[in-house]
Amino acid sequence: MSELGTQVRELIETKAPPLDLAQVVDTPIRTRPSRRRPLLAAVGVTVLVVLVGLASRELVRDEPPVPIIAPLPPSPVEPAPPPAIEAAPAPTVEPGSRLEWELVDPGLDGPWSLVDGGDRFVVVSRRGELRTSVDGIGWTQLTGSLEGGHYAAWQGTVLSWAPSWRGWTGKVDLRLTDGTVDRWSVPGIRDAAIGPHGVVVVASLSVEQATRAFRTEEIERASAAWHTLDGQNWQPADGFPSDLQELTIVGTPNGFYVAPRIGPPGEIWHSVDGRSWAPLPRADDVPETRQWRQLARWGDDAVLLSLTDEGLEYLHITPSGPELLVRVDQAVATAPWLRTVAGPLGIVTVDPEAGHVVYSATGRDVRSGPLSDALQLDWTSQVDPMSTEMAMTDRAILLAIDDLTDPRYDYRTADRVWAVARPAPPDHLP
Amino acid sequence: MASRPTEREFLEFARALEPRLRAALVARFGPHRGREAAAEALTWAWEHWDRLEGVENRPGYLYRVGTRRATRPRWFRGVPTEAPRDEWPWVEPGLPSALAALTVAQRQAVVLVEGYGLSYTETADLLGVSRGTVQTHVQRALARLRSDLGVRSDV
Repeated sequence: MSELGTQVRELIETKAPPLDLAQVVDTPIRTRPSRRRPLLAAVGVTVLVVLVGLASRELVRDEPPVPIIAPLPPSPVEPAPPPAIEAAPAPTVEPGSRLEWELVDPGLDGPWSLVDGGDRFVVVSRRGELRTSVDGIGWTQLTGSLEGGHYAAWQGTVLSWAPSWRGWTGKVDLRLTDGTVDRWSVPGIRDAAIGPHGVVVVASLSVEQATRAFRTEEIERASAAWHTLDGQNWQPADGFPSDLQELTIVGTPNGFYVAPRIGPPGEIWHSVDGRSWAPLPRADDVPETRQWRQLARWGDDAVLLSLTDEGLEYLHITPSGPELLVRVDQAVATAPWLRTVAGPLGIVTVDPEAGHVVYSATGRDVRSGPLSDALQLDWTSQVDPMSTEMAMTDRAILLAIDDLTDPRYDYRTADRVWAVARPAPPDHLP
Repeated sequence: MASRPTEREFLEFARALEPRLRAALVARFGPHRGREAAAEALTWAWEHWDRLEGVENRPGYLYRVGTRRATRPRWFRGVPTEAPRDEWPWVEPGLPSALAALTVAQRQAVVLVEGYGLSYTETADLLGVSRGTVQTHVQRALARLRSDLGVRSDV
């Protein structure tokens, strides 16, 4: 190599030093591959205007939000008609019902993500394709394509987002019921929720996340939320709890609820419209030993799964405050892997690490037991608890678990085990 | 099931590719943006390995991924958080400006061939041009650098 070449190399190695490749493989494989799609000019201009507004205002509330006095108009995010497929009939739910599980083959080739749309299941493929079903058996293709890796849905409207965990700007896609997809870039996005009252996006960026990025400037921001009804006009939320770093959020017919996901107990916050937030009254009979929480849409409101030192408890969350439904005095395994879904068929919590299921048909009764026999899985070696997903309609509960068939690879496998559960009358118990 | 590499296998692949990928992108986009683009291209490779299956020229493919990432609109590329380094190596003081005066193609070619010791063929594969083009760019770049730096020979 010539002296000139040596100096050229020295110059580049100094000004642009080698990358830390360990950070590359820290990237979770959960992220779906992106699909390059042309950006429509008209949408691009509109989105750019929104982004410029967001970027300039970012998380700084230099203007007070407009107070919401009158009821919001109906969301333009109208539900799509149910898919035209012949669905299984809705089962009857009685107090004390149990769940009957059945392995199913939904014909989904590859690791599709399962999303709870309330009245329908939605699945998203790694390439962003969408399908929907009401019973988990018959599936209908949806138009539109999403990027992101994290999903939420309200009926036919599907939200996806890519968190800014690498210190980069996150992406938000909203697939409207007409099949069109709107996209935004949101600095520091952490979480998002969708419901009849629109979309709430929570943004923050912790020091830890920033230092894990290739760009290593330390940035710390408090949580803030943005709301949109139509996917075009975004408003900063007023009164959103700024000290929530890890949170669980859900959109329901009676508004949005948010609670701390981990750490010491904190207040549960509510917003009717997604813009004006206020804490709910505390419940005197709820013990403050909670370690981990997850909100799930339940009827017009929400249910909060709260993990305690002794077991778990379900709380009904309404605008009046939390109310203890039932407590399960039984230790459960690692909290972060628990998955809870609620709806017309009751409340179901799966502990995929232990292969355990807890079911409450009414919220007051509770049953628990192993899943292993029903799903024919060797839980100790085959199940990847991180990638378990569950959703519920009025017809069935659908569970998707990744089946790790090759222990050499630590990644999301393409082989998912799908199971449908339906309530069975209690007198069918053995 | 897609045959993903293990972390170790991927790191071996990335370690071999990273210097030339970074150099090519830095030569084209500058130290800050080029390094970011290399990081994004390698991260993309880790996340989307299945899309690299069947790709014969993976370095060239990832170079194009990095190029696309670097040429995205600024708002879409994300929030830049790392300032360029103020540190300077002990090199000919006129070298940075002389390199900057080259065309992008000349700069990429001379950086990869002279700086990183890649063959003309390897450089051509990475940049997606012909071997002869690389050769021409290197010769012209060297001639211009020597002229700008006032050196007769750099051997």
